[in-house]
Amino acid sequence: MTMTRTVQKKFCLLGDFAVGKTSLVRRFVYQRFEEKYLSTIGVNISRKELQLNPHERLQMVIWDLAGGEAFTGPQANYIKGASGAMLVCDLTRAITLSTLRLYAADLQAASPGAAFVIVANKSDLVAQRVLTEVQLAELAEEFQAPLFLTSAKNDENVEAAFAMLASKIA
Amino acid sequence: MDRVLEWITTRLARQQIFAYALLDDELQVVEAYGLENVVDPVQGGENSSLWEYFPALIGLEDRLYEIAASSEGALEIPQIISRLPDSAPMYYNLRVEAIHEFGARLLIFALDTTEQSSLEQQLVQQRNELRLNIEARQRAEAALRQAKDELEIRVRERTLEIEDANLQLQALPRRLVDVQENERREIARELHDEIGQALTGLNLLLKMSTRLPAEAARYNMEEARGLVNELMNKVRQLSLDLRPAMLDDLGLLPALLWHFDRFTAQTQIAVQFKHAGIDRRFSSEVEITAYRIIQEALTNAARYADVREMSVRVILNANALGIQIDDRGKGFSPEAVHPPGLSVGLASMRERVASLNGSIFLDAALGEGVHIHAHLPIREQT
Repeated sequence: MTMTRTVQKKFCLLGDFAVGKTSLVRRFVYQRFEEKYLSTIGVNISRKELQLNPHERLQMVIWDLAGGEAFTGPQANYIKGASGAMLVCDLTRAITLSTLRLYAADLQAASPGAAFVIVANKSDLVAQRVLTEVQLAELAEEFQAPLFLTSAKNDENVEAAFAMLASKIA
Repeated sequence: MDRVLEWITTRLARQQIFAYALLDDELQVVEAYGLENVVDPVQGGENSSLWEYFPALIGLEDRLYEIAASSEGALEIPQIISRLPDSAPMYYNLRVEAIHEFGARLLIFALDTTEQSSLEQQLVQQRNELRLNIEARQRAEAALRQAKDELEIRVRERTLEIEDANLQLQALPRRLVDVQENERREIARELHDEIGQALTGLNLLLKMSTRLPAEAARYNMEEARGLVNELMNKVRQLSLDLRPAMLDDLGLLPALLWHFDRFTAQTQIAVQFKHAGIDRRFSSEVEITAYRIIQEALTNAARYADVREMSVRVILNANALGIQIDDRGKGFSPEAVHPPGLSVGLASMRERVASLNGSIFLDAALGEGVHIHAHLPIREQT
């Protein structure tokens, strides 16, 4: 009989406040969405297992981190030892795209070799969208990272983005 | 359990500890307390590994071995949120320290920071909502600025249009005088060159006839009669050009049909004429304006277009007369300087239409012919 091995890996969600990091995790792990915005402070850790192949399962230990956090002092441990990260911006707020470079630099310093996936969230807010495909493609090119336009509210591309992140470290 | 808690409280001066684990140098749990407060029992359990209880330490294994081996240092992960079923969310700081007591090498403990962190969460919530409001306001202000800029551009463009229209309006009387003078010049030339010459010839013939023998005088009289007939024709043409009586007597449609016949006979240019709703009378201003526009367009085409055929459409809509005149001749560049006759003719058309609050558009290009669209509002006669 073949044994199934389960590996545990740490993944971080990084991005400015109110871009929808908590909503993405809530949608991926619990299949739920809440309209009300609740700021995260510190870290909320969730876990979800994926079957990578017939012999291996991956337990994704997902760190939903507060937006706007400086990863210095004890907070540096938030991003140490991460195997991958989801860089999340909000399609309706231009500034949330430019700050992703800072978060990526912090993560690369703390966890060299970590894999990236770029997620542009709130694709359901079509009328308020300000970020263009070109801007997003430029960032994805810069980090050589897959890009996903997601809606945690409408459950669009959320599973695909996490699955891609998992596949990049498998 | 109590001794460990007491040790932590006294030696490390830590309060509010609600869970701990003692580990050996292989990171195996030697003793544990309150771990159910940290992790969901469904995920954890009596035989669960350290990583099941403390998923926050996954990825930091190397650092834990380092602390255990060196008996120095510490590691802290602040403000971890714990959301256990049927419990209010709580916050704790997870701290790892080297220890030389109780047969263990590592002490991991959780310090309850719920009260302080909840207050902090409320502050952060207010700050973030404020920032979102400011961002939304900035976006609204930017949109407002853009709309204002666009409005200013439109106002400037409109102002220029109005200034241009005013200039044209101011120049209108002068141009009307020019048009009138041009028409008078044409009439004077016709009178002098055609009528005047013929009358001079006639006068000469009549004078000579008095001194000639009867036979020769009769021949002169025949010639004089011919000159008189020619003169009568010229005067009729001149009169028709000035204003065809048919327009006043029978209206626009018969006048146009008559004009097209005459135009084709004179120029060999066929006119394809289509009309609808104009077999009736309009105000004399509308009738003469429509007639003059078509007459002017046909004259210009005969002079400059070099065509064998033209198209004229006159359609009555609900409250306006639509006129479309097309030729597929030489055309002209709208930017180029036009021959005086053409310039005056076009100006004349525009001014006639403007006097009726109508509109006229001329579309022309070299080699593409000339296309004229006019729109004449009609005021129903009561």
